[in-house]
Amino acid sequence: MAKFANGHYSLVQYCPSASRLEAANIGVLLYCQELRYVDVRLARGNSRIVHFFGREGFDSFVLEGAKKAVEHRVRLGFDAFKTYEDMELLIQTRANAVVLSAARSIKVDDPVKTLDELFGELVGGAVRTRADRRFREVDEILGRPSLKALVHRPQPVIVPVVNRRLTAPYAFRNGRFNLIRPERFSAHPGAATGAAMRLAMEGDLLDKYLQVDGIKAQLIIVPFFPAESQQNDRASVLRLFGEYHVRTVDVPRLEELADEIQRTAH
Amino acid sequence: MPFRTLPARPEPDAARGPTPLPSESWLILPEQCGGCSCHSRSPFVSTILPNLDGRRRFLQYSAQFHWLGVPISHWQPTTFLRVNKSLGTSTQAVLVKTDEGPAIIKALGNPEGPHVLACEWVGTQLAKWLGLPTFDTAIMTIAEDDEIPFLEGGCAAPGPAFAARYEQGFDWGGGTDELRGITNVPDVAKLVVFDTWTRNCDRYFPPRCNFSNVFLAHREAARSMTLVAMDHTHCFTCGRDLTARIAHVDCIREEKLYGLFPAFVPLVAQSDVANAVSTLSHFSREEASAALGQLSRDWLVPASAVEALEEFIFQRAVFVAEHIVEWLAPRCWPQGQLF
Repeated sequence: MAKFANGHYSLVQYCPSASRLEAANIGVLLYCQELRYVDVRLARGNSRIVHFFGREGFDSFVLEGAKKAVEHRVRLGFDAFKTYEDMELLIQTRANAVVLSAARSIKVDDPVKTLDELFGELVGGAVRTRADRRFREVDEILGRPSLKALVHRPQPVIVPVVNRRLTAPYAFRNGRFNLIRPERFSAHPGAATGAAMRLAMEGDLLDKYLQVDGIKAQLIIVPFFPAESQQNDRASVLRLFGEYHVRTVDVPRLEELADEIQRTAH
Repeated sequence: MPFRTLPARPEPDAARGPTPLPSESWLILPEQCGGCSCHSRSPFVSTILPNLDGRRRFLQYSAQFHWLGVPISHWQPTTFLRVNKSLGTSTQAVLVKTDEGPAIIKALGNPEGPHVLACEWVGTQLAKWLGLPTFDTAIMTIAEDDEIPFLEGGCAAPGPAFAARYEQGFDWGGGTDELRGITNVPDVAKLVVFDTWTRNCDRYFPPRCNFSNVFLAHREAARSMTLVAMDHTHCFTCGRDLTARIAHVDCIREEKLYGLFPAFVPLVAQSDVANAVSTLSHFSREEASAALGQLSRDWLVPASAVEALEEFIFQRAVFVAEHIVEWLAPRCWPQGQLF
């Protein structure tokens, strides 16, 4: 007979009113002190919330941020949750709309399998993956040790004329000061075009006016499109960047960018 | 916000106390500023202030309040209506519904004692003074018959409680990327300056690491969040009682950084720190005094501790303004500003 460890699980819920206590399950957290395991599975979409509260019942932008915050917190690893009380503290101190239910006991054999099963049973639907959360491919390629001396993490820059702060997680110099910014565009054509227009204009202004240590700056966009976005919508976004002379590097060509950095950066 | 020029200063009426003004915002002209240096050059907006009994008290025509210098809210809950949720925080905060909407209150009777309420109030006023976004806050009186249970047992005691207006948003999860899109990235640097000034150990002061005290509020634009400084109960003494010891030179001249989460480091720009330091260097003893002048007697802070705290706040502002750039430089800008 398999040896089980004692663990605890907690439902991650969207509860827009603490008074009403009506909640939709959007994820599940599993904690097992014996196995030194803590992790969370969150729903990729918001269909359960839409089902309970309607499309007007939540702000997808805020919810996305809250999901990301929960993931960050839990994925700090077991060191942040050394005791059951640490997990309880996380549960009991949440005052916003994404809450954690009181922890319940569970027998755990394989924690990953158990968490997947809990998610399937209590939440359902597709799981939010790491690729949904981060620009994994960009981080993996530009974060390589071989590029460490060439690729930097720059401070935010102020875009001339509009005085807006622009952040880019990576930068390299090769005669230009190249700011590399991965950007995830919405499946909604209007939202994607709006975001692209802003970035294209900012990239154009950087190109025209910004110098860093006497070197002209330029913006490189690594675009990410959701699977459901239409091909012609993607093409419109890319064409927009082209019109403003903002360079784009899509994910399959990231290796070429890494090669270019190896060859030309200093 | 409706602005009107403040009318001429009325004659004081000792029997009736301060002359009440309507509950709206006022444009204060420099010549009406009572001579305080901070607003002697430009008009600023002020509004009503709550008093410590939880009732409304209107702007007094004294320089004492001018140090606030920023619009403060009309928000002043006076009546507890119901409990929404008791929270498991160290001060046993409770999410309640008030006559002014939902609020999180920290009340007398909490296990950390009454002094943390004083620290919370003063810390929040100082954060506002430095220009950090905070929640709207007020002193709200808990009545004898208000039943507000703490999560871990017991109930809020009657008397003045610290109340913060509930806002939509979420606690920061600890990632740099969560902060890159906020509307006020320069306030990341300001928050570090503030925490170091007030020795606030309850955000980041290893081994303590409390992401929950950085709140991302959904305030302005549709798709952006604003970093908000919250929970200042552990300013000055890290949760211990306020005593005259706070003015000891070891406290004032402590050379330790507070609040610099590792995830903050890429976002702390030298120019933002310089701006915060510039503001802090103008902090005056009068402003320290004004911040403490509003403390409730029911929070039982001895006069000697109030005096010491005033000394600490002023002297440490000077010390931190002089040194924080050199403390931050090796951590935040080891290779210069851009790299």
